[in-house]
Amino acid sequence: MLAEAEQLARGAEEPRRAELVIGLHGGADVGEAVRTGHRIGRQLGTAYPDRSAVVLLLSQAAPDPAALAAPDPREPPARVPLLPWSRPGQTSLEALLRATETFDAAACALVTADAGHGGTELVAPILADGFDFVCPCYGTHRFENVVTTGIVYPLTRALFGKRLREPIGKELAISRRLAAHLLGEGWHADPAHAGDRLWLVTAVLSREFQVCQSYLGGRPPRAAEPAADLAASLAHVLGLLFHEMRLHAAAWQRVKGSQPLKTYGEPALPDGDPGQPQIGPMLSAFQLGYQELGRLWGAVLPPQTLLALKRLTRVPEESFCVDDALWARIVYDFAVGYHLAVMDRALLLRLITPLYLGWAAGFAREVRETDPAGVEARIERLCRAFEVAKPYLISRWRWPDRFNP
Amino acid sequence: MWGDVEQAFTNGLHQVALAVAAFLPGILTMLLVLAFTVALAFLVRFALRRSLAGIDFDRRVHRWGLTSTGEWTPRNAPTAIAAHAGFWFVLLVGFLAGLDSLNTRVTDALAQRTLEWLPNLLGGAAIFAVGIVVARFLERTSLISAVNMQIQSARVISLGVKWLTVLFATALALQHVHVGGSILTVSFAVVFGGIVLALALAVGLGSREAVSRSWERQWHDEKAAAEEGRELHHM
Repeated sequence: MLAEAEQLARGAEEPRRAELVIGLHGGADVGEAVRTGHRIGRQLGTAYPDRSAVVLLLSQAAPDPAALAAPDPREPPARVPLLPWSRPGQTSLEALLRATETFDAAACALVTADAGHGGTELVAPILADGFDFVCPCYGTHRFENVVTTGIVYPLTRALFGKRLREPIGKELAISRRLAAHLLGEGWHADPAHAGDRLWLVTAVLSREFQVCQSYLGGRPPRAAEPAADLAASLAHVLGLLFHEMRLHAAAWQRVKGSQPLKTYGEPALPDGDPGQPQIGPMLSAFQLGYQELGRLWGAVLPPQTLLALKRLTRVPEESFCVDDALWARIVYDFAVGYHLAVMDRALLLRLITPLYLGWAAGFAREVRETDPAGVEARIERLCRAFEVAKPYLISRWRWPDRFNP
Repeated sequence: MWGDVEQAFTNGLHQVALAVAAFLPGILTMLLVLAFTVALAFLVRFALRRSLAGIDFDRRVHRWGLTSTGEWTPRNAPTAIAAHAGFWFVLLVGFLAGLDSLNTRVTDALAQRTLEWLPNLLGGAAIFAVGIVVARFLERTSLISAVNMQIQSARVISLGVKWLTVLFATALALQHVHVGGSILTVSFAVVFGGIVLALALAVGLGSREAVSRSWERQWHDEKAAAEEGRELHHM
């Protein structure tokens, strides 16, 4: 078995054909990644017995070939090989796209090393129904993934008119047609950010590619972020999003409303109690932000919005809530501020953190006692507000000096 | 006798007339240079206004953090200030060139000394201007970072960072124009070192218990919140 793995590892550089390419990435534990790789290989072999497939262990450095051997030597050798695939300097996504080209594959998927699924849920819509991009969805508690809920999902939905529930994530599946576009035209359009997840999503949504989403079960639990890390993460995500907005401005200004996407699988709620997050500290962060950063916010937000924020600082915790329309306009104003570079862009992106915490406090208070259906209805209302406010964004984007309420 | 006096007066007047005649071309040249300088200064002001407006200088300066839009009026907008500075600089140089054309020992020396000192002055002004830009940028950065870390005294921290940077830039600029000499260096070292020492003592001794209590409380709060699921998972 070991000799076979070594042979495969050596032969991995050679171009070969495989209809399906699954790239495994993330996770510090190589053993876990290898176990997941073998499991995915067995499931692919069972689900697609007449198709050739390969599972790649994506990494920056070449792993020990001995580590790639199947954990249980009594098991029959896998029909789908697990190959080390180290490409220094390339992101996981880029390595996967280039591997798809090398193997001349019909579909490829990026799967995390700690994934609980078999990868077939991701590639099936491409092979069976001809989709180009499959985006995973996870069953999440109401207090998880709040940045996506409050900004990324409503914003991408309003911009591109497609209801892609989780635009940022670590897993996906791509057709050969889309991979060829991304490595060609898509790559040259934005080489600085090529290979990033939001680059891919906006490149897909701004074109006429067939997009769907697939439920993959629960999301693995993660630790809470310290406040400073939140500011950096938020700035990173928003920076990419606003940058891609500038790039695809001609495409999203033509879009009105939004359409649901075909969704495979059923949402599965994660186990356990989501707990009751503390609203007080987030509210204090918002009030401190208004007190100290109000003057700087004035460079980005119009007076009407500043007035509404001033009123909000006096609202007690029990009834605190940032109005959906106000929040949509704040996000749009920051996008316009980034576009016009009204101040250093890195600083501008960090200015939004207290505002986001204020919105998150209101959202957490509102959905505290709500059932999952109620939470979804609340998110839907928020997304509608973003869609309704889109003409405001277009006006400010096109005529920033003339249209300044 | 009277003839001698008359002769002396005539000679004196003659010498004065000769001196004035010798001085007149210089004055005429100076007036010509000044007239040309004034015209050139107006031209420079006009060109600066047009070109800076063309590159949207006001907005750029605001983006660099040098000013905030609310502080501007048409008279003190960055473009107007730069145009005025260019105007007065050309006038100063023209005036010195005019003085030089008088060809007297005093004016020559004055013009030469001033022109020799001018590069240092410009260098000092540039150092100070860069210092102000850096100070404003650091002030904003530290203010935003401190607020995002939910530090209540964020404003005090950012002002401290700003004024320390301004102090440093001022000392560098004065050193460059050779004002103050070693007294300035010593004074700056004393003031800067004093501030740092005072802060170190305040945090290290005076606020030791308060700081440790605050950190301990924050650490316990974060741990308890994570254990009880009282934190939002933002990303």
